[in-house]
Amino acid sequence: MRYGAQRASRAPSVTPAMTMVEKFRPILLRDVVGNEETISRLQVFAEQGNVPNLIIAGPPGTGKTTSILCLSRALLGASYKDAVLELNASNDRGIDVVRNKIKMFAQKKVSLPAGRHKVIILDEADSMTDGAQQALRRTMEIYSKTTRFALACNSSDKIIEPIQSRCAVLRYSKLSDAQLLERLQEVCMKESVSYTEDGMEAVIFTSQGDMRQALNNLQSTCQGFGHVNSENVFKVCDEPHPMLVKDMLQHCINSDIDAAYKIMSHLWSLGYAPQDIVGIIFRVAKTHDMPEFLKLEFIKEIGFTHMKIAEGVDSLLQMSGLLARLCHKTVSPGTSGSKN
Amino acid sequence: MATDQASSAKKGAYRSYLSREGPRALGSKEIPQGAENCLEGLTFVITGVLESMERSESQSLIERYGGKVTGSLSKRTSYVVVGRDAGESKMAKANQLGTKQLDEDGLLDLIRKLPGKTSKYEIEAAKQSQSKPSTAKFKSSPSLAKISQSKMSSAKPAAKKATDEGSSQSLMWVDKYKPQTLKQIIGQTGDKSNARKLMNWLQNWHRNISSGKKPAFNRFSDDGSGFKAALLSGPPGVGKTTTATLVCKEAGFSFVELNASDTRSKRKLKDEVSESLNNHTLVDFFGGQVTPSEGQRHCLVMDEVDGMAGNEDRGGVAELIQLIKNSKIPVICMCNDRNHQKIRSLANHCFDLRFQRPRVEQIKAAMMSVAFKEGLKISPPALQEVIVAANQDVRQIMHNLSMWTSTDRNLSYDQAKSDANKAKKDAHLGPFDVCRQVFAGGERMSVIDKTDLFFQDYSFGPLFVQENYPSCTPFAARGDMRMQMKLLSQAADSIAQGDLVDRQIRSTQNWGLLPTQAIFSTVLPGEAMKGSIGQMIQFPQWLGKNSTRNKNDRTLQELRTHMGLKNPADKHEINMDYLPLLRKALTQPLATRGAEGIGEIIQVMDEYSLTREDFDSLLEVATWPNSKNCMANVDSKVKAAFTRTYNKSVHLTPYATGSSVAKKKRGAGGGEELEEEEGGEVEEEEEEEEDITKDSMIKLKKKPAAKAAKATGKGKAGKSGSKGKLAKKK
Repeated sequence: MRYGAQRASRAPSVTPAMTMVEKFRPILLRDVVGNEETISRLQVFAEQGNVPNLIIAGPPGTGKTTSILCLSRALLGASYKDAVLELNASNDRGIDVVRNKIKMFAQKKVSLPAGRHKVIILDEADSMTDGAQQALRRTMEIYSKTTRFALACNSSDKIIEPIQSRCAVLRYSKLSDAQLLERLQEVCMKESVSYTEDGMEAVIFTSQGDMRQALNNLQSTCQGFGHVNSENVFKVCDEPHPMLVKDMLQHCINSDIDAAYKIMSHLWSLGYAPQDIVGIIFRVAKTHDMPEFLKLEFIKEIGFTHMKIAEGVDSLLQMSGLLARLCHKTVSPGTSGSKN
Repeated sequence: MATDQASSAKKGAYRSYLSREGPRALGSKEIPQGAENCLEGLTFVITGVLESMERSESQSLIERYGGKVTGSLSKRTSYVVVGRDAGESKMAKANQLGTKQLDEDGLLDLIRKLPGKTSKYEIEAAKQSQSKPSTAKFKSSPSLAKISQSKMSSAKPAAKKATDEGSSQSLMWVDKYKPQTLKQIIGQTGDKSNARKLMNWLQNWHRNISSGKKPAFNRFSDDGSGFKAALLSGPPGVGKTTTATLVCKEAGFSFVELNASDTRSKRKLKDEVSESLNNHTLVDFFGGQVTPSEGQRHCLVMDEVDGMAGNEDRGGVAELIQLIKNSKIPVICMCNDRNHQKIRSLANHCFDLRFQRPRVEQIKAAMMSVAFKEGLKISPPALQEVIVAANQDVRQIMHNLSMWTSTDRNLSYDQAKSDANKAKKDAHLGPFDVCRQVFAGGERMSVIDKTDLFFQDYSFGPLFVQENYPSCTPFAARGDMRMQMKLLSQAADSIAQGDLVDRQIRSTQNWGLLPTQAIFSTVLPGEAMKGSIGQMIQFPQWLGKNSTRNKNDRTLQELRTHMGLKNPADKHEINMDYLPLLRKALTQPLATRGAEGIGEIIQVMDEYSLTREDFDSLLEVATWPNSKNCMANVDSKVKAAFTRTYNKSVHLTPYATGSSVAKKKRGAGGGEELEEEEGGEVEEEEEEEEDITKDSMIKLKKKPAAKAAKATGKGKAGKSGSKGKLAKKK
C-alpha cells in the first residue's frame, strides 16, 4: 500500500522530464487496465504467493511488462531489489548469460517469507535465441523451489515448446476502446489537459488498442497544441482522418460520386500523400460495415489502385478513378445517367 | 452388373457428399441447459448435416455433458444422431445393430430431460484420496486400483501427508505431485512401457557389457543389451526426465546430471565428464553392499542433448559419442526430436526409447485426483478440454489448472473451454494447414482472419493456394459445372493479380503492398473456391520446377561462356537454335557408327571448346520433356571408349577449368578425412574449414603444373576425387 500512497502524491507534481507512459505506469495490479480475468488471477497469486512460471503473450501496449512488475512488487515488497532479476532485450541474453548470470541468480539465497520466491523476469523473451532458451529449460525446473520465471513476449510461438510446457501461458488481448478511454480521461484529469470528445476518439483510433501508443499520442498532442481535439490529433499523427474516409466509402456504397469526390479533393488539398490516403481507405474498408461480397469487390479495387499508385501513377485522377469504380460496383443498371 | 450399379451409386453418393451444403439454419435453435454430466456413459455417432449447428458445435455440446462422440458405429454406440444427407453405410449399420436414432431435436430433448449424475471420475478420485494419497497417479486401470486400495487403507499415509503439507505449500503443483515411484508415472506402468525397458537395460548393463554383447539391430524384439547408452526421446511434458531419474533411483544407481544449462563443449566433456565416468562414489567404498562383480553403480544422465548448440558447445555431440564408446558406466541421454540433424549420429550409438504422449483418459484420471486433493471442482468434460488444449502435455496441464483455478475453485465447462482455447499452444500454422483453412475455413472467418492466414507465411502460402485451388469443390457451385468453371476462373484471375502485386513488392521493396497481396492471392481465391478439398494438400510443384529452371539456366550460361569464342549468340539463342543441332551432331555418329564416330565427335567438341562435362550437361539441357533419350541406343562400351579417348588427348580450352574440379574434390576429400580422424560423424563445418585452407594451398602451389596436366587429369579427378587429390599432394 506504500506504493499506492507514493503514486498518489507523485501524480499531480509536475515532472516534465517524464513521459506520460512512465509517469502513469500502474504500480498495483488492480490498476492495470484490461484483461480483467487474467489480472484478477494474478492478484490472487500476489496475495497467496506460490506463482507458477508464467508466460504472458500479447500485442504491444497491453500491460504485459507492467503486470509482471506489479506482481513481483506485490509479492516481494521490500526485498524486491534483491530477489528480482530483470533482463530485457537490451541486455545480453546469450546462452552464456543464461548459464552464468541466470543460473547464479537462481542459486542465490535470499531469505523470503514462506510461499514467496525469487523472480526472474525475462522481458521480450521472443527475442532470445533458441540456444539460450534451451539452456533455460532445466534451470527452470531444478530451482523451482526458490525461483520462479516470468516471461513476456509478443508471440508465444517464438518460445520453444519445452519452455511453454513449463509455464502457465497467459494471453493478453488488445484493449477495448472503452478501457482506453477511461484511462485516458483519468490521465487528462490528473494532468489537467483540456480535451474534446472527438479528440479522445481520434487518439483511440490512432492507437489501435495500444495503451502506450495512446498515451504517447495524447502527450505529443497536448504538448504541441495544448488542446486535444480530433484535428490536432490527426495533425500530430499525420493520418488522413478516418472518419472522412469512412464517410467517403459510405457515399461510394450509395453510389453518390459527387459527395465522395468532394471528400477526396478535400483530402488531396490537405496535402496527404496518395500512398497514405489509399492505405487508410484500405484499412477502413476492411472494417467498414457492408455486405461481404461488396467488401471484397471494394477491397479488390482499392488494391489495384494501391498498386498503380505504387508504380508511380499517383495523380488525383487516379484517386477519382478509384471512386468512380467503387461507385460503379453498386450502381444498378437502371439508374444510369440519373446522377449526371 | 449389380456390383457395377452399386459402385456407381456409391460414387454418386460420394459426389453428393462432396458437394453437399453446409448447415442451412445456423443458430436457429435454442441450445438447452442440461444437468451436469447427464450424457455420461453414452456414446454418440453423428452423421449428416445438422441444420442448426456445425459439426464441431454439436460435438462440443455432447462432450460438454459428458458424452462421447466417435467416428464409426459399433455395438457400444448408444445413439446415432441423424441429419440431412446422412451417410448410407452408417444408416445401414445402425439399422443392423439396432442403434437408437435421434434427429437434432431429439438430441436437444435428451439433454433437457436426462437427470445429472456425479461423474465416475470424481467418485473415483474421492475414493482414492481417502484410501491412499500417495498413489495418486497410478490409475491406468481404475478397477484394479480400487481393489488394491480398499485393502490398503490405513492411517499411516494420511499422517505422512499431513506432515508433507507444510513444506509443499510453496511448491508448484508440478513439483508437489511429482511421481515418487515408477508406478506413478502416467502412461509408463505397463510391462512394455519405456520405463520398464529402461529399468531392465540399466539393471543388466554391467552384465551385458562385461560379456561383450554386441548391439542387436532389431528394433522390435530389442532389449537394448549391448548398447552403452540409452536415448529417451519424445515431446516435452511426457515424463522423460522423471522416468530417467526414477529408474536410476529404483535400480539403485546414483547419477550425475548434465543439462543444457551446463556448458558441454568438447573440451569440457573431455576434461570433466570423462573423468567422472571412471569415478567411484564414496558409497562404493563405504557402503559395502555392492558386490565387486557388479562394479560401480552410478550412471550419467545427459539431459536435453538437443540443447547442445552454438559456439559454446562446439563438438559436444561428437565428444559425447566418444565418451559413450569408452564409458564404463551407463549413460542416459534425452532429447525432444530424435530426427534432428545433430541427434541422428548420436542415436546410432544408443538404445532407442521413444516416448509417446499419454492418452487423454490416462491423464484425466490422474488429474482428477490432483484436483480432488486441491479441493477443485472440475467436471470431467471440462478437464478433457484442458488436456486436449495443452496437447496432452502433463506438465502444462498442471500449470494451467493451477492458474485458472486461482480465483475460483470451481471450473465450469465453458470457462475451461474458453481458457483452453486461449492457451492453445501457439503452434505456428504450417503452410498445409493454412491452405486447408483458406478453402475449408468455417463460415465465420472474416476478411481479417483470412488475411492473418496469409501472414502466417506470406512467401509460401500463396504458392500452396495456387497449387491446390483446382482440387477444391466449391459450395457455391452446387454441383453446377458451368458455375464451377466460372469460380475457377475467378480464383485464377485473382491469383494472377496477386502474382503481379508480389512482383511489385519484391522488385521495388514496397512491402506496404503486402495486405493487397494477401487479398488477391489468399482471400479472394479462398472466397471463390470455398468448399471441400477432395484430396491431400499438394506441395507446390513450382518450387521444384523453379529450381530445375535455375539449374538449366546455369548450365546454359556455362555452355555459352565455353562456346563464346566461336559463337556470339546469347544463351537463349543457343538453347533454341544451336543445341538441338549440336545434340544431333554429338550423338548421331555414336549411335550409327559406334566407336568409329568418336573421332568426329571429339573434333566437334574441340571446335566449340566443349569439355567432357559440357557434353553431359548439353544433352541434359537439350532433352525436352517427352523427347527420347538419344544416348539410349548407344552401346555402353562405346560410351566408355569415348570417355577414354577424350581423356587421352590434350584439349586446349580458351578458359580455365580449375574451379569446378577443385570443388568436387573438396567434397569427396572432406568426407574421407572426417572418417579417418573421428571414426564417425562429426560436426562438419569445423572440418570443412580446415579442408578449404588445405585445398587452396595445394592449388596455389601446384598451379602451373596442374594447369598443364589438367586436361588429362580431369576425367580421373572427376570420378575418383580423393585419389586425384592424393596424387597431387605428392
